[in-house]
Amino acid sequence: MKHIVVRPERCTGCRLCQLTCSAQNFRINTHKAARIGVVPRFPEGYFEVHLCNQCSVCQSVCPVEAISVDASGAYVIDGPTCIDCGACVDSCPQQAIFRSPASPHPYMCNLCGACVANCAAQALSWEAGQ
Amino acid sequence: MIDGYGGSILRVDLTTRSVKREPVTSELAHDWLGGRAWIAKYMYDELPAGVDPLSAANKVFVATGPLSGTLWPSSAKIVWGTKSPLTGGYIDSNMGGMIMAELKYAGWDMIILEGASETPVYLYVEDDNVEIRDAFGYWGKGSVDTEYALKHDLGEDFQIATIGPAGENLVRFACITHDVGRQAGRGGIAAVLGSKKLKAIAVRGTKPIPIADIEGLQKHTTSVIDYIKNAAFFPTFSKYGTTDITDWCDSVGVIPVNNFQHAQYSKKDRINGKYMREQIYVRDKGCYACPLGCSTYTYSKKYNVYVEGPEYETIGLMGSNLGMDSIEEIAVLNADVDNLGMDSISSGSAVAFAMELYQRGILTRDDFGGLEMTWGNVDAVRAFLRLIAAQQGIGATFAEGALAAARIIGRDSEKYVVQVKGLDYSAYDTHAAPAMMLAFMTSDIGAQHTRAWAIVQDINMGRDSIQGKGKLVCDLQHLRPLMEVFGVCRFPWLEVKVDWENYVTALNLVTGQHYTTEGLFAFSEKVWNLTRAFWTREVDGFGRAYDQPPARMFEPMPDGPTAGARVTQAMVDQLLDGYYQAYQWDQNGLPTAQRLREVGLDYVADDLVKRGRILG
Repeated sequence: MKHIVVRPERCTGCRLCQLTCSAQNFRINTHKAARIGVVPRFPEGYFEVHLCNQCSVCQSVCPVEAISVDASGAYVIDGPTCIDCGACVDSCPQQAIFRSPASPHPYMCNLCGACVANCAAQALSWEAGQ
Repeated sequence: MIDGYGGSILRVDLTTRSVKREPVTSELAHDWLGGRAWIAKYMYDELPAGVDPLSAANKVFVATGPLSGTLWPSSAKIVWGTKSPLTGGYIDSNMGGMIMAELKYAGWDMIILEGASETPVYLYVEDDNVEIRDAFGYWGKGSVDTEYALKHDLGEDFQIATIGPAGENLVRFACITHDVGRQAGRGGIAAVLGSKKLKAIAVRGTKPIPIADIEGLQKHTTSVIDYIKNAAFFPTFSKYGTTDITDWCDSVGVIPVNNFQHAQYSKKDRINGKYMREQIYVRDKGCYACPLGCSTYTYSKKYNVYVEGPEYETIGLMGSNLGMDSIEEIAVLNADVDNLGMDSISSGSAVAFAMELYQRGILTRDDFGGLEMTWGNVDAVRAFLRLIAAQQGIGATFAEGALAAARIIGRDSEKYVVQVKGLDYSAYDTHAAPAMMLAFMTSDIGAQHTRAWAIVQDINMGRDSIQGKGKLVCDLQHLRPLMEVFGVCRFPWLEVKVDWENYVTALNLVTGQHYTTEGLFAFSEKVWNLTRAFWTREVDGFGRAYDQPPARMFEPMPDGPTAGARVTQAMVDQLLDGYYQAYQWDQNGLPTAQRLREVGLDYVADDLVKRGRILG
């Protein structure tokens, strides 16, 4: 399985990853539907990047077993099963499960990799996992 | 719904504290595109002729373009415009950051600010919910401090633009600040906001921007980013940004030193991008959707201050031009003017002018209230900047801008002000750079570098040569302002050579229209004629006399790579002749009625003829 590795010290906060993600996954122009989070911290001057690292905590807390792992290794929330209780969102150590008007249920990174291609700062990259 | 647009214009009357929604019609979108073209059009159409810039009858226009806030690389520009309190003519100034996207996500493409409030207010925009709120708690605060305070009070995901004490106090080169350190710096637009008692604009939006072909746009974007990642200059520019040019400007003798008295700096190695990276670097920072991330966020340990920058223009104008010792001094001065809310270019120019008057004994220590205005005296400059922002003592004179200050001071001091049309020179000496000088002379806002950054062509085509430079500047003035019509940054095109045609493709993917380069350049010509017409309408006696370079350029450069170089009136006349010819204007540089009609500005031609400004 391949993972997307984040190097937040390289992030410039431009949100191209989020714009690309929203375009790729929801076909809309916004950064606010993305499956990746970028939080600027100023005046200290750094950016937090929130992205699923496939740690499986969400799966273990989901009360209705709506979360599974797909063929690429990504965690997926099954819409019809999800009761939208928010347990996964609250428990995610990466703060990488998101809600937006683009979807009736929370969602996380699906490892499509569109963001990696558009991150010129190379804060995101593919690496082979264990 | 019009692809590429939020869909509405927000008209705000600060006198009556009322707001109104106006639709963006397809004619406005497709015939006038957006950004600075909208500003030029609305300014000519809506401002009463001869309006006092600091009166309630002046308006501030804040416009995005069709590409602003889209996925397209570096789509991060929003343009502010008004009748300038610094120059008395047309001004627009643009900023990067994030707010252009947020405004369109809230459904608004442009804000028009009219009238004036009696008490401090800020504009709150959350999608359709627009409120004019009291700003008593923020009035008097620094620009950056106000942004942090509003984010704290409203939510971190609001995007904020603010003015500082200088804008509140009507300093005529006050700037608007956003996203920590992105500014619409030039021409004193923040003073107009200050006259309206508008402290800030806070925006949050939730609606995506409609795109005609989002799959095509994503594909096009990814291919251009792939090109950028492999471009030869990308690693350098993304690392050093505009500061990379410091060494080059020094080596070719264009960096301003001691108010443009010299053009090579002995402490160059202590103010350049490399030294900055070693001494004060914190993080690279990018504007919205920008793969270049050219901005550098820094921290000066010596002064315990954070600042976004300095950029090259600030290094030049507030560094070498003031004789500063190192990048740390420039950083603290940059942080000072950012928080006071003053343009670092015009601040540097006003201070350098003051220091030269001190050097020549025209003004003394007593005149400066005890400040020793010697080159490099950072403490004196910091105190002087505060006097300017507060309009205190002699600061009130310089708060009018360097040119107006010279006219108050008299004693033949105007010859030491380095400006065109009242707008201070950016950081490029033009003793031996005729195209860059012509660009300063003819820019439609005054001596600003971004309309036609011709300095590179001067060096490459021959610095003594005048041949073809009128045409060159004319061509650059057709392409570059289009970036601010689209709402994108010029740097991917300028610095890493993203081909122009890619922008036309992106525009068509976003809007679903069929724009062509030929049609867009014709449109650019129309907009350039319109801003020239605005000057012609607003300024008595406007024409060739207002396109002259500053007196300093006629003095021989004493030393450095351009030693002995000087500008002559014959050169100036020749440059302007070629330039006016390229635009088909008359000998005095006024647009003719015939030319205005040819470019599609019949109503402007009629208006100027009726007012007796041009012949019928």
